[in-house]
Amino acid sequence: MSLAKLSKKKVHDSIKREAKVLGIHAGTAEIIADKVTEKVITWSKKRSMITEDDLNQKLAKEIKKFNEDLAYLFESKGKII
Amino acid sequence: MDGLSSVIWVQLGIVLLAAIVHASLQCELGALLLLYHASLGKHIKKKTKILVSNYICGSEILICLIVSTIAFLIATLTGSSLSVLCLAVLASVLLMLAVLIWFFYYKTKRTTELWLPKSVARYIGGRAKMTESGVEAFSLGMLTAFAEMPFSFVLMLVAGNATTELPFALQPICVLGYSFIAVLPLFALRFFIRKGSTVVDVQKWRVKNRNFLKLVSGVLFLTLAIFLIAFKIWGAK
Repeated sequence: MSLAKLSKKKVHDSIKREAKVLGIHAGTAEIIADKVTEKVITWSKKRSMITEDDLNQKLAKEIKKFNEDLAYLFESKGKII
Repeated sequence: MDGLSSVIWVQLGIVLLAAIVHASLQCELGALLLLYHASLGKHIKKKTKILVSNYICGSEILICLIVSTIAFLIATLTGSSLSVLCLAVLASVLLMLAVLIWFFYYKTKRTTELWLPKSVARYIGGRAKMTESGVEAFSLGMLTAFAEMPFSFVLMLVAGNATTELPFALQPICVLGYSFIAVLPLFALRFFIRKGSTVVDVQKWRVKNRNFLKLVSGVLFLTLAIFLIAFKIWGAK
């Protein structure tokens, strides 16, 4: 598993991009991205290394509180084929 | 005349069945889903539609080219069609593939990850993400049709062989028909996304029904093998 180079912007953008896939309103996506990014960045600071899988699972867990389908997109990343 | 028409019906049946078996394979569908996923996040819907159309076109054209090449090679090298012995080998391979589908087609029990080596699956996923133009989408369609070859090659071989035994006028129709049926699930996916289903809906459906799809696919491989044995091997005696 590769080490994810984590940045606030990258996480924020990836949530907004996935939200766009589901046709979620841009404003709603922005709010979800703001809240989730903050939590994920705080979580990442406690770890010396994070894999992409770790990150996707954490994102899915946090996003699930707002939108199940959006969380599913992160959960199923790399597991479609 | 009756004898001739029954031969034609058997060949058409083989081509139709092989095409349906091909359509039941999941690699091209999964890659198209990845393309939808990547494209809908980046582009407007119109651009996604163009990319998806090109992807389907690439897949269909490669299948069409392979089946027609196989038919041409068989007709040129053997002068007619494959011998009963070759068909027996093909039927055995089909039986083996049915078993492989049941036991090894999916990697895990909870996802739709396929038998593809991790590096190949990652490469296809990466290409789907990077696809920006119609040409790239077309090539991706060709690539995934090619990646499916360990399972689909025998089907195309069987269909190509059956095509050579048809009257000349029917041959191109048969090849086109095969490639169209083989990519029908891709058209279906496009239709459902157009009608409002999301990538998540489709993927959830695939995960929920993966065992059923695996069973159907295996049974279809088995049916084709039995069809070949009944009509081409025993029927040839």
